[in-house]
Amino acid sequence: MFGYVRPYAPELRVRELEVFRALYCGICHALGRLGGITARCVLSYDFVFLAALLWQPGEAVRVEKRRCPVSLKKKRCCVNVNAATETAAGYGLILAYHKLRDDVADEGALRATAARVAMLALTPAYNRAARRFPMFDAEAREKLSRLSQAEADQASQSASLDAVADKFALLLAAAGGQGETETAPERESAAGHDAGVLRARGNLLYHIGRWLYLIDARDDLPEDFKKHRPNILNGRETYDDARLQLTATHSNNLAISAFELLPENEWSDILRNILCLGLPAVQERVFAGEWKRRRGYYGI
Amino acid sequence: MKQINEAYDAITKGTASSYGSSSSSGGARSSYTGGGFSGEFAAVRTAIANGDLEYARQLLNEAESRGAEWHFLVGSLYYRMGWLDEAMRNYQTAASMEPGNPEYREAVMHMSGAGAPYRAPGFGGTGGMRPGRDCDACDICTALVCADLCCRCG
Repeated sequence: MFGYVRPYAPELRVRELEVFRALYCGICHALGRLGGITARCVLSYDFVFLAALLWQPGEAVRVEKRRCPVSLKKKRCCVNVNAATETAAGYGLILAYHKLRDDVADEGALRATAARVAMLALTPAYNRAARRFPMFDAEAREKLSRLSQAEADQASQSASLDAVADKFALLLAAAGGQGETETAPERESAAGHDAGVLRARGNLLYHIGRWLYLIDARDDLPEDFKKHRPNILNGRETYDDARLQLTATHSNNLAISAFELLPENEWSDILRNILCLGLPAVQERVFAGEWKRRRGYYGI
Repeated sequence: MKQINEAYDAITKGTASSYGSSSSSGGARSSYTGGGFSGEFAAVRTAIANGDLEYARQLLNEAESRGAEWHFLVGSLYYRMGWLDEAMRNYQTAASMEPGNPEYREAVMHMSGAGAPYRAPGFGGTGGMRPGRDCDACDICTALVCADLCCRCG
């Protein structure tokens, strides 16, 4: 589910690649503040995309050197922790925790045990994130439980794929809302948020969520089919790769259209790369069956 | 903000309102008068155009005749909701029930092309990943120069 939303590195400028990595490290620090070393383990490029999208137009990017728990000898460049990075870290942590909770319920014995252990380790960090972002936590619980229900109903293969993907897409769209802020001045400025911007951002995230859900299902399909695990695409004769590619590309394109309506911020060029180049590159590899064993992929 | 909403509506609608209400389409569509909707499902088209999707859904559920136009409007409703695959199915059904209708045909073509994204100039129609690129001023100028060389008139 995580890691599909990333830039196409060969088309990034060197400075863009470096500042993207710095944002990744900045979100790692935000996760560390939220929940220590265990929270940092859930970090993925999708959080970076969200932080870049939520970044306030006009707010400058400050980069500072910080010590890294992975490479202790060398300090790394990190983007400053601010509302956007904190929100992305919090939302990402909440989503990762609920995903683990679903794995405990849905997966086989071995995977469920691993998920249970990970959940236990993550619980204190999750509790802190849920207290900080209660509205998103409530949305995540409700939408993911509706998603599980919809996936179970899919067993009859008669309901629509859109109906299931919609649940996850709506959850991601909620991440583009006004955000939850602690201090009164922040709340006041959040209340002045342009309704048009919120609408465009919500729609962008809806279609990213829909794209993500379809791509994840397609990526897991060969293994799920072999191991008789549930997958919404399993056994659907009405869906072939061509149809699935078309609808995934359409969601990608609608996300691009929504993005072009948003005001520019410091990350717009990188976001444009992610939407216009990164997602299609990942989609191509997923449909070729090469994503999981990507060698020679120009990663970050 | 108003401009974003208007632009957003224009780009992402691709539905009954933009296919049906265009006054530039001339008299080809007998169901529509310039600027307004008429016909059996006028209220549904208005609701979809105004973003009142729940009301549009309710009207469609209550509709007795479920012909080509009904399927087209269900498709439009699904498109607005982001249910693109269901939208495509319904558009295709509408087009197969009424093959001569240009509105339904356009809708199917739009969906078959995965929508054309509104993209800021400079990023390339193919995103720079595949050969081929958008036509820009240099191409037009070059083409005019070549045309001038080939056609020495007078």
